Amino acid sequence: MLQFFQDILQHREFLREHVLQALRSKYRGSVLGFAWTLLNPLMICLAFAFIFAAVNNTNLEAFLPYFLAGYLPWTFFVTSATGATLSILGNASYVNRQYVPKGIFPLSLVLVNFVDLLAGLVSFFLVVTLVFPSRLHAAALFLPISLAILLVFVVGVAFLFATINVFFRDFNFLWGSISFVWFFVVPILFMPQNTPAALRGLNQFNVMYPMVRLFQDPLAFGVIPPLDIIGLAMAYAAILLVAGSAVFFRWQREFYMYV
Amino acid sequence: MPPMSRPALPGGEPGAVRRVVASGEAREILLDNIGVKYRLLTEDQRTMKGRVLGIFTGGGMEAEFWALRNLSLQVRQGDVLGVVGANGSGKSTLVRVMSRIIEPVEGRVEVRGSISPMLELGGAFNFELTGRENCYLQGSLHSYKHDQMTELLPEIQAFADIGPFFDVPVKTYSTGMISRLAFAIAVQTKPDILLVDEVFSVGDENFQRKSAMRMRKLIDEGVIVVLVTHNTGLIRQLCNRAIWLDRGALMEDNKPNEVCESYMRHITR
Repeated sequence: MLQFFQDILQHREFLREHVLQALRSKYRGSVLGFAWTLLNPLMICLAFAFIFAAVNNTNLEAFLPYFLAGYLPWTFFVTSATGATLSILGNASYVNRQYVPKGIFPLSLVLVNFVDLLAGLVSFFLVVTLVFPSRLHAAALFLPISLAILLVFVVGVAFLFATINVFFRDFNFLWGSISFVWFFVVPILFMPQNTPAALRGLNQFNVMYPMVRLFQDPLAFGVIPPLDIIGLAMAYAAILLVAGSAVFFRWQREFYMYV
Repeated sequence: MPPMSRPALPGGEPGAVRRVVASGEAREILLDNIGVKYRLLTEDQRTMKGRVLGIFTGGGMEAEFWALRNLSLQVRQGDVLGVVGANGSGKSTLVRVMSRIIEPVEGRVEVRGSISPMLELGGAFNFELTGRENCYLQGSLHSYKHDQMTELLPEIQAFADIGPFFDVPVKTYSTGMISRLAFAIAVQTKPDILLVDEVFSVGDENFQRKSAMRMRKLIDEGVIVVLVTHNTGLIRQLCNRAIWLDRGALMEDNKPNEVCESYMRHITR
């Protein structure tokens, strides 16, 4: 297994090029280029601000930072997991034609999405500084730790999903439905204290619950997440990374028959 | 490629692929009693839906076949090896095993030296990216840093000779252009071992002549070349050794003239 990561490390030059090219081609041809990454969360802000303020009469100053603090890591998780399901098939021309550590493809995809997450956080701070300056908290300095834990977790999920979808090509459709429902049971659209009674018990089993808390606590409530939440998130991240890379490592030698 | 510091894998472990790269060391490809299996899968066997239904309908059985079995082969420095055989005889699988794309389920593979594989219909390209961008990606696979690749780029561009297409996405290329670019990258990145699978059939006369000349030069520099082609004339002309594969088994390993003759005798029989 160590060999799996060593091999990727030895090909880090390819990983670097792969990530850079993906970023470049993602924004090529669009007038605003990289600015889209910043604009996208702003648009979501506007849309939700409108819905919740006009329709629902919510206190925006409290709600918007809270919503974004959960929505950004959630989006990173879902786009990476969804993208990972196609990362091996989508790179078939490499998988079939040249030796590359195959783990590079899901990994590269996660890193590209991670750049989006960072950009999203930049626009988060822009919005908060400009519109709700009183909502800026020193606890935001905890963010690098949150990001590291989430990144490890998502890399593990990506390895796992990439493997599953090689052998079961309809897995991504199933995942599309699961992730849609999942979004509504994680406290992102509703405050933790407003969690419906039926869901409250679910939070302790919900893998994404501690993950979003890592961001909501420092960004929206100005506190460092409690130790049990940090511990749980780290445990999930470690388990997923080990399980995901073990599964990928074990089954990648059979990819050639399926790709 | 820096020499690898980790200890060698224990020999004899099934499917183990060992790659030892040290400058000055003799280049070699060693296949020890390898076996490669394929599964013949229906569309249903690739989906969860099909798998679940298969439990009830009995459609879950997979047919397997051995693309290569009990094959041992040693390719040494100075070898220019031609590979002949009918369609489906395992030639392309053999090249894929040598380039580590496929790990055999049986036997052992050992490769000393850096490899440039050029498989049928061009190289490993990202079709959305331009030729130039693909060069950087390929270069990084051959351990070239971005700046080193920038220096190498004019030579590749000149050899590929695809004009303005160098800067447009590869998806707009003709098959000939893809092969030109793949060959240009493969030879200019100076591999120790060059694996060529049916790429000459698509280039025009001019390019075929140019690439044959370039291959001769590489051969003189001590690069191991493995050439898969149905063009036995090319094998007689370029190679100093040839093998004939039939249904995954090694039928003959000899001088090119002898092997090509027995192969021709076999298929015209």
